[in-house]
Amino acid sequence: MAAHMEGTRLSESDREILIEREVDAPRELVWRSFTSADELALWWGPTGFTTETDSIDVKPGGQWVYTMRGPDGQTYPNLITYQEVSEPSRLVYKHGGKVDAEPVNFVTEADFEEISPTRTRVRLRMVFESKSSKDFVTREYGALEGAKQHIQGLADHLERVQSGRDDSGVLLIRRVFDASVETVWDAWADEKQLMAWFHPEVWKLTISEMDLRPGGTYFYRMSSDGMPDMYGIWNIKRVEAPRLLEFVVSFSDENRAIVRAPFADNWPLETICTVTFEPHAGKGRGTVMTLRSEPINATPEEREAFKNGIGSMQQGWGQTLDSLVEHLSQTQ
Amino acid sequence: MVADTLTVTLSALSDPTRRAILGRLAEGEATVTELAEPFDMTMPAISKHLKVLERAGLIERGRDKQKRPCRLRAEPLKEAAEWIGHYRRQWEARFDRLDEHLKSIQSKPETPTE
Repeated sequence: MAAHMEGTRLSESDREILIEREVDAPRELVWRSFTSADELALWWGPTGFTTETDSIDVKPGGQWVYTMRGPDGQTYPNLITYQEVSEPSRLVYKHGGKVDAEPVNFVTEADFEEISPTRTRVRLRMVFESKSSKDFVTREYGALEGAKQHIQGLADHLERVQSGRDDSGVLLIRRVFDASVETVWDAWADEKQLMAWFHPEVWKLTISEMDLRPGGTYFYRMSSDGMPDMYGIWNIKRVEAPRLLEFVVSFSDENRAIVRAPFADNWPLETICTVTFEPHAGKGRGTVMTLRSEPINATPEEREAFKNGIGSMQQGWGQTLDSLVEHLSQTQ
Repeated sequence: MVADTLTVTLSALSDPTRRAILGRLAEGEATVTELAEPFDMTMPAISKHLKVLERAGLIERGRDKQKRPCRLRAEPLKEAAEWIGHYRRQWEARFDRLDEHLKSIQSKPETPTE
């Protein structure tokens, strides 16, 4: 998934940024991803950005007026004017040019080359008016990192669309931290630092093993006054310092045998957590950290329990329930 | 078993019509006819939803043989709300602490390494 930028090639010259990658999708699907407002809303922009279209008219001279919102809440009014529209292989568009849009001016030549019926090479060439204009956008808007995340977002989107997978049964939490990617990574990878924040609320955390490499294990005890001790295990799956950490989490007994979560019978025995760390693109600074968590090796019932508990929260009825409960506690 | 009750509660809550019915009942008790009003549904269909809610202990029916008004029961709701938020809240709370931690280590000019 996101953040590991495998297969993305980035190069730059004085006035240009060239980014290229192959995606597993038919060319028509790539074209639609670039030209339909519904699709664009699902992937356009760097990690954590959302895109809302005011109007779109994909034809030479036509415009796309949209607003992007960064993971830190900052909004960016945007304007794109299409210069060349050759379905399904080439799209040329100019960023900027309106008074209230961001002072970001460049032309993108997007080429979609069919490698096979299910694989497409996407090449984005961003041409700036001058070297200083390119340097400005790179410096002020994190354009290089943004471009990498942008094309990764496209690849992830195409994968989601084709697999029919959605995130309804997945816990997704995204946070921006005011610290470098390396600093945030260390807070996970360094034992002393992890102990400073990872413990659940009032519980004390004791880590007895911490072996950060694929196949390695974290084993820890959580204790609290008057409560039986709980134990937890992480089985480390992927370590791509400082960008990605993936591990399978379970509750266990003191002998490392996996046990049920103490709070629900149907809770999956194992959940896989993928944590990614990416530099904030746009004007923001810091690190965008994304946690994805979903059941692994789970029975349909366990999956359902997780989905009811987590997915529903994201569909917004958790809040409805909360306000209902609040209302009841006031009236009773 | 607590968890079994929760499973029943959660599955009762998984339907939008049933959540809307509960929302209506939060304002006060109502008869089946009153509850059916906002929905484009037959009475038997509404009754079916009410049975699910009743089995889950989320509502109770009055004794009045004619009207049998429905009333909301809060306890299972509270339990479910608590449980639903548990996992997410745990991570959110952790990340609040991580935020604090990152601020504190960066405010020191040099992080002591022992």
